[in-house]
Amino acid sequence: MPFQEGVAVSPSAEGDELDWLRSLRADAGEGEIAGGGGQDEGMSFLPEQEAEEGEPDWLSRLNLGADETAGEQMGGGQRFEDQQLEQGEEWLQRHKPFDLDQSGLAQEEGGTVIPADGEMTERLEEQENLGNWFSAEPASQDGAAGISHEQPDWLSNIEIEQPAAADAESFGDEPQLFGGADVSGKDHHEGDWLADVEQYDEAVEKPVVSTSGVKPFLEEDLPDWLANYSVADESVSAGGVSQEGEQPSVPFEEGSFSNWLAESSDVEEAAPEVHTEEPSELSGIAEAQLPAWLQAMRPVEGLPAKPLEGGVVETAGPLAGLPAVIPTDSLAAYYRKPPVYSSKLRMSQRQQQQVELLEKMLEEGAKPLEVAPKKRYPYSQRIIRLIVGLGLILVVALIYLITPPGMLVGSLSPGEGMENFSAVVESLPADALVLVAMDFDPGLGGEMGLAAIPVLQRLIEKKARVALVSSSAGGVIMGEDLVRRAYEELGALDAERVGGYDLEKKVVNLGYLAGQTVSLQEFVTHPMRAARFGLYGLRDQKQVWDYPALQGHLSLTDFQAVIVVVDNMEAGRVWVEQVQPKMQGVPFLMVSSAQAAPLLLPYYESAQVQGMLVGMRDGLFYGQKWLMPGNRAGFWGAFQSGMLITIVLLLLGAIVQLAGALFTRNKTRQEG
Amino acid sequence: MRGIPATFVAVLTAVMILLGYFVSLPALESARTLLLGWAVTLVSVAAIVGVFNLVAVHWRKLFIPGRERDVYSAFFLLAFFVTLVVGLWLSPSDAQYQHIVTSIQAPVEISLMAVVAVSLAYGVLRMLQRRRDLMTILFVLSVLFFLILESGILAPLAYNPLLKQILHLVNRIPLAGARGILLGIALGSLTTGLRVLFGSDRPYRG
Repeated sequence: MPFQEGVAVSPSAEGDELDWLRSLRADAGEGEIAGGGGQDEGMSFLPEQEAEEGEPDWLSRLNLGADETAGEQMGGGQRFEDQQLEQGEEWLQRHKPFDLDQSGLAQEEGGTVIPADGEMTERLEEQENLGNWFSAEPASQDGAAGISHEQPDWLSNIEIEQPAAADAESFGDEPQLFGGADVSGKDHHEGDWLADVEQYDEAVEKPVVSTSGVKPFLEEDLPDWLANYSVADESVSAGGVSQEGEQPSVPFEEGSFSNWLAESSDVEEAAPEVHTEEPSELSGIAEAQLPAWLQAMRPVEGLPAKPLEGGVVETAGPLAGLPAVIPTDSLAAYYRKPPVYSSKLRMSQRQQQQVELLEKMLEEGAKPLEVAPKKRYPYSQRIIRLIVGLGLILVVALIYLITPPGMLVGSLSPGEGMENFSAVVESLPADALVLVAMDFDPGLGGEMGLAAIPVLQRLIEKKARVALVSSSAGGVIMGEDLVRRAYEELGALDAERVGGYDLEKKVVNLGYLAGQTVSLQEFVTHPMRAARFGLYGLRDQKQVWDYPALQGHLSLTDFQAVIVVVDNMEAGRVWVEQVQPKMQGVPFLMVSSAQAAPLLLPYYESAQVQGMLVGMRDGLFYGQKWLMPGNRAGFWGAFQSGMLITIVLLLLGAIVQLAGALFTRNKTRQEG
Repeated sequence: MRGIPATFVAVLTAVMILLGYFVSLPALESARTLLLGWAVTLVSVAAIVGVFNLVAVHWRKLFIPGRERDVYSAFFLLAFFVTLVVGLWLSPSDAQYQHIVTSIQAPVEISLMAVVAVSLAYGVLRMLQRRRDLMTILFVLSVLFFLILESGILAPLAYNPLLKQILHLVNRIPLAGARGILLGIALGSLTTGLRVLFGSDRPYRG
């Protein structure tokens, strides 16, 4: 620690300051210079002017040695002090050291005090007034490092006191650290320190070891006054934390110390021996730069060289090298065997039953389905399929072909709505405007033709104007075809019945309404916008509502009847639900296929549909009633024959299968 | 957050359409008509998109390498493009063009229905071969009964008032089932409409 001016020792502000104390300050400054010179070759601590005027021998040799051993460090300072001690007091009386405590004399360079050249002469003159016995006493900045037991006691004490004073000054900002004692030396009576030095000498030989805790200073490094203070007042802890008269605060409870910490008192006893040997061995090492109190706080130095018995030396982490730091033995007492929990789940009887049921379900689900092996029949299935198909076609065709045209069908029984249907049609006046919706696919054109053609023929016969419309793409063309076939067949049978009926003028095709429900809703509300050009409007370059059949009629309520020809339930439902409520009493009739009739008959029974003609059976009956052309007996005979063949096949198959099952069961019983 | 505007538009539209049915206001009627026109246009465009998608699917199936290649897609594409070109050239009002439907499409579809009839007859023959439980037997008996009833074989019995009442009663059984189906459809439609109206069901989110 560099010596700081006016800190360790107060400047001579008081007039009654003793001469010896002033000399002591001068020695301290000189010692610092000497020590500094030994530490750094670049630091010249003696001015050239003094060297020329006649420097002391020891200083000359020191300079010479310094020149020779440029770059030498602490070792040079040590030799310098040894030489001083050998020369004794004689040269000390002849020479006067510098007083570096004078203000303005020193300039700090690298932490070393270097007096200026001009001021050095004046300072030397002033120094002559000081006592010879003390002024020439050399001192080392790091006095502890240069202390030898061969020195005189008084000199040793002084040299020891310098760093201690400096150290104490470093704590000057924290006076409470030393229990409120003023360690700066201002108020301390300097006359008592000699007595303290004697006590300190005794303490060096017999160091007082404090067992209260680790102190910031090793006993050997303590200045005398501080050592005495520590010895005298044991209540002051080493760290200066506790107040006088109070119990020292210990951060750990008694008994919780680890081994090394508990034996710290023993270690401290061995510490002085170690430190008393260090100066001779490590005289050239900068150990003195480390404050003594900091050295005392290092636990490593307070530990024995070998680990304590029963302790484990830590090998890693911040506790590396410390033995028996973790009290494993005491911790073991706090642990006990962890409780063992059973893995068996406690369940009620009901829960167990549910678990068993779930397991059973999972087992059944995980099992692959047993695929029944294919049965081998003595006959080929393909042959049977071929026989069934050919039999049906041959029978139906044969019956149709052998039935003479115009033969009446005696076994027809019309449906419930056919009579009403016929009555509504017959109620239509001549030249009535009828809207016919053709919502069926070509696949069912055969059945729908047999059902709808007699109705169209009757309309033609009544000279009704027919407007065709369809929400099915194929229905537009299929409707055109049905009207043409009805006209041609009726004309072929009796030309007079179609006389005066012009298809171009009486029939108009409103076209295709795309969008099913939405388009029908728009067609009901705005028919002229929904069906603007129709099927032939673009060809004839006019709107469909300008054709003679629709001339003068701009809304659906102008129609005198609506006949919907549908082959599926959905189309019929949409027409009934979307269009019929808007017709305002206009008769709503329906020609349905046999497959859709069961689902559309409720509308007839609820009077939403005024008449209903179902499938081929009602169509044949309606045609026979009004003597329409066509081989009705042939169609009806073929239909009935096909139904009978299907019934026979069903019964035959059931009998064969039941017989086979009975045969297999009897065979199994006999084998069992 | 993204669905809030769509939900708002949907609910507002539904309310306007619904009010247009019950309240006779010219403004509501005009709005309802306008929205209906938009809907019809959108449906028509959707039909066109569906046509293009159908063509694209068959086009891909035709050029897929390996066993998944469908040669019949070539017939579909050929028929489609021929019909399209002829229809654009002659227009659907032409009598020759209408023969495409009446002479090709109708016979083909009717033939398919005939094949269905033959397949059903063969299925009836083997109905009890696969399963022989109570429900199968009941189904076979009902099919047999209604086949006989619809064939007209029992028509002469209709002249007997008692038998006529019995036949009438039997014919009511399908009607009862059909009425139940219609009621279910109506309730389902009503519920779906209310859900859309209240925004709880948003099928337009995609």
